[in-house]
Amino acid sequence: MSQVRTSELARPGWLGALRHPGTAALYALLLLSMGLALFMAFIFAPAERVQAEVYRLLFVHVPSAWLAFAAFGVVAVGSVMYLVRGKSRWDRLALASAEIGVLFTTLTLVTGSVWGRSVWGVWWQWDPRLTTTLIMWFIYVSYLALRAYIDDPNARQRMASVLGIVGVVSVPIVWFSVEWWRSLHPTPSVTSPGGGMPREMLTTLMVSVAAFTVFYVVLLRQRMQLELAATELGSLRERLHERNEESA
Amino acid sequence: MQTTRPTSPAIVADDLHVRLGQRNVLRGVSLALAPGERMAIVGPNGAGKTTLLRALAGLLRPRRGRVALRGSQSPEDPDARGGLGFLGHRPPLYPHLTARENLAFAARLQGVTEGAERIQGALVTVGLAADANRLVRHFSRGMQQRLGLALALLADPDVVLLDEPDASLDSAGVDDLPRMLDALAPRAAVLFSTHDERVAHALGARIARLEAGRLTDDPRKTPNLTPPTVPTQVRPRPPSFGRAVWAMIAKDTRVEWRAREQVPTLLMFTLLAAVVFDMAFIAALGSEVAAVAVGVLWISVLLAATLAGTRLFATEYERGTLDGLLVAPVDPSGIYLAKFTLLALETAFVGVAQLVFLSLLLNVSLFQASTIGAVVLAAAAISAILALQSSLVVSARAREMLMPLLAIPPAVPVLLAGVGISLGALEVTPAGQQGAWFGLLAVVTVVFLALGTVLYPHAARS
Amino acid sequence: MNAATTTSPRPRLSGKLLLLAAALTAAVGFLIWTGTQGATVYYHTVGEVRAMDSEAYYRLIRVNGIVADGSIQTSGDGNVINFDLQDDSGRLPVEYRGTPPDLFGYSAEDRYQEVIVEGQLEPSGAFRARSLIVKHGPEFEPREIPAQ
Repeated sequence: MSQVRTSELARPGWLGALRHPGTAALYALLLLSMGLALFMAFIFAPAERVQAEVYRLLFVHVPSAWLAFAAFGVVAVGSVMYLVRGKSRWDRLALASAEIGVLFTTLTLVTGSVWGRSVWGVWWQWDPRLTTTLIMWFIYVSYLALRAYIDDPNARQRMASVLGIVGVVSVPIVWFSVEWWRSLHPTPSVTSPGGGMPREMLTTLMVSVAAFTVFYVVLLRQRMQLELAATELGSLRERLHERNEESA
Repeated sequence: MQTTRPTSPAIVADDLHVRLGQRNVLRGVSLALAPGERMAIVGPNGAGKTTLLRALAGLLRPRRGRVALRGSQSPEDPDARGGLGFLGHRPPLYPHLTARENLAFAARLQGVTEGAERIQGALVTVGLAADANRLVRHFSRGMQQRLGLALALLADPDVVLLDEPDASLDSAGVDDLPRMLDALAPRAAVLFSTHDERVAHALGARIARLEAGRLTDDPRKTPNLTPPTVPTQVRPRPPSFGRAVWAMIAKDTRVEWRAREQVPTLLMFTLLAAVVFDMAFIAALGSEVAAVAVGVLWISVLLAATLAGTRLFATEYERGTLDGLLVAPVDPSGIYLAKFTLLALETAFVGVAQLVFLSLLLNVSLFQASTIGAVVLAAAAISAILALQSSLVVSARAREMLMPLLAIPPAVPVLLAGVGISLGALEVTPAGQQGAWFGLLAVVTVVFLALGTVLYPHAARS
Repeated sequence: MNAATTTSPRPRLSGKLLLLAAALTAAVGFLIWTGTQGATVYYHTVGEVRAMDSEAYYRLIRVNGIVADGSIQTSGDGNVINFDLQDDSGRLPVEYRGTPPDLFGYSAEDRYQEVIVEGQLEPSGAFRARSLIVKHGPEFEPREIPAQ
């Protein structure tokens, strides 16, 4: 039955995936939005009064943080649905989203550190936002480690789903850390009353968020298809094995 | 309120599909057994016999299809398992308990009243009366199998699932099987797997052949719905949730008391930590005593809990006893709560001992009401986290390596609170601001206990 | 036969979920409350440190405040910086040795600059900072402000 849904990656040639109209459109959108975001971040948006050029990290730091939160939310949704429905596609969604979430969190931590060095004068501080973000990163790294250490697919999917649900508790804690506790890290510029930015910066930020969202979707699709292809390969091997046994 | 009419089948499997990993092990198995009926599943190795029995016992969740026990109840419903006797390919026995203690524990989990008489009767029937008070770890494989049969048949079940009951029995034991079943489970529908068709005939069972995940030549898929000839009796009520949890805690405490696998070693570990850090930082470097003492205290509490936590579920998993707990008529959340309690007790004990060690060795006044409270509450918080994670790593490779990675990130708030309270107690930081830290410990405990209670049953059953 | 009363698994599941929801709600309420509790905060305010008085002496603490206008004095070879940290409750004199971050002292045009200093309060009332961090708020402005 898995043969019916043969993945696009199974087509010959590495460009094979692009022949799918949906995929091609998605890639075009990614190229366009990323190009636009880059142009706006470096040329369209003006320099900042106090921070001059370094504030442009905002256009990577904030979108990657938001997408990381969203990605971990998707992990939780996929995990709950896997436990309720038992369909592997939900687990593939959780796995793919967790990997991308870790990637985006890493990007957030690295850009934040560089930015902090310039503005605060330190690479790292044990401030609530920074500390909770690092813990969240560790939790999802351990989620990926747990997956890697369990060989039996059923057990792996089940155990990972449980951890994927537990882990999401960290997301609101990171998000609200700057509101709940005294923090070095600023509250969100876009939503907090004291914050704000000129329209050019805000537009650029929103375009960046859109571009990162497309990037997330592309990566998510790709990773899920890769996982499906790996699973199909496994069951084809198994079927071959069964057939050999039957004929023997 | 539900009563099983005598004419409704005792066991029904309807188009069962089970997939293990990439393998479709069961591919549409349907069968039905009337009350009191016996059926043998025969088939080559790898045909799916064990998988079928585990799916019927509710240990595996089918991909498609349905299982109903005793009328219409799914084996995932704890109450449906009240009348279920299950013996897997490994008897679920605790090697550090005697035969009688193993049976007594099972009786408490099953809610068997008049347990002592029933246990004695079962021991006599399976021929272990003389060995009743010996530790099971001194038993031969055949004796363990006999005890396993006694366990499965202890609660006078009306559904019995046996995976190769004749395995590792001597010929006298195999000849004895029909008598054991007649004596201990006269009313039960019995479904068992075997390689030996003579066993099937001796037990008066009809034979169903399982090959490559399908039943081939079961003559009648519908059961013979004649009412059982033996009068029915009142089924033992499953124990209350609290009683079942208490039974598991008492069992684990007794096992640890006998085996001494954890607490003495952890005590030595904490003492070593105190000595080594003392020598490294204070004797050699003259660092601040208070800071070193607090650091040693909490790192040893965390590591001791992680070491003990790694084994919490793994030992039961490897000995096959976890299956025994899962087929008992108890909500699986109870298993999590029992394991949490055991780990919290061990960790708190070791932590308080470390308070004494550090007070004596480093001459700091750590042995105070606030630090003892912090250690006890932190032990609860860490155990609530670790008991859940321990259940996740049972089937993982190199779980000792994985466990700290899983355990430490969510335990960070616990460590922060513990360090905060101890530094306050030693007056490194202003004292009298500790309420928030104690609150944090309580909150972590409550949140993870709730998460564990909701999520453990999902981790337990495949 | 089956004398035991059976509750269906559904309500039991939702009971557990209710428990989980209650626990999470309590946790959120508690975490918000901790933000106001002295022992758990990342930094103290000038007012809190002044109120702690001798309790605060020689303990490593972090203090947050606004650099008082015109109070920055660089002495000697430029390695010692003195300034006053200010909030509604008053001022705290700070002495910092070391290189300040690039953005320190950028408080022109009536804009106050928030900093966090980490160090010890001395009985003299002076705060000896071993690190100085510039806190930047959530506001961004273009470099060229149109002349009013």
